[in-house]
Amino acid sequence: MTDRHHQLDDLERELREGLAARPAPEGFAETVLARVASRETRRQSRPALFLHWRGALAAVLIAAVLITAALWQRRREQRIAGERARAQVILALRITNSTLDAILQQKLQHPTKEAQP
Amino acid sequence: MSSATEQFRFTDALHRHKARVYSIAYRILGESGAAEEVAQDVFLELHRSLPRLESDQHVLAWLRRVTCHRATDALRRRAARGGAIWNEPDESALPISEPPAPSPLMNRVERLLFTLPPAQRTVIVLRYQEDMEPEDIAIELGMPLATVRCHLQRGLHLLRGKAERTLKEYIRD
Repeated sequence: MTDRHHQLDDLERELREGLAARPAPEGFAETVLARVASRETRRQSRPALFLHWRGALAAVLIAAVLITAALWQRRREQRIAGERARAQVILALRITNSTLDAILQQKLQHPTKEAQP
Repeated sequence: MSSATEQFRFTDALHRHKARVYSIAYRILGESGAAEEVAQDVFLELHRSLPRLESDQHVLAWLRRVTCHRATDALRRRAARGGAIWNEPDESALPISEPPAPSPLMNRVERLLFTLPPAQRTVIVLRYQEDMEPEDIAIELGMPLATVRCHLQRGLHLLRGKAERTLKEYIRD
């Protein structure tokens, strides 16, 4: 058991010594700083681009709302005109119906007049 | 805090911790190119997160945690592209570490380390490179303490067997 602990201690000591930090590659920090600077530049130019696209998007949305409203209004007018025409046809049919009824009543009350030459 | 102060803090953290972050990434990934890429991404992420990190201790803990997670993610991406996360390599077939280690002992220890599964490798790197206690490793990696201890014990057990063949020879030399 003591020998095993001794072995482990040796191994742990060797691991500690052998796993000291390696130096970072040549130019590592400079590359990171250059990437940070490049990202910052892109980030700063992004708001202007975003505003430009936001304006275009708003214009498209407004146009879509206006077109939808116009189409809806047109359909509404067509529906109202259709209903009016239908009501007029029904009224005409009713008038015709009552006129025909009146003629029929007259014929039923005076059937002989028709038989005379 | 002003932008100039933040920039100074970032540059200072970059110069102080670049070797540490690169070493953790390299020892988890076993490949210098991928490790450099991960380490650069970690520092870019640090630049964004620095205003939220109050002290140097927070920065250090953040760097360790994020480096381990990003390196593990890189291993998973490598596996998704068809490469294996880890195939137990034959240590005799391992290439001499690239770029060359500053000392022969480091070279041998790293070659042994690369034969371990990633989880054990990560825990051993944090324990012996970063000199962290298992309790702190458990917190940093979000792992149960028992799992960390298990990875450490298994990793050390595997390393001991391999070290008997290589490190002892090295020490005798």
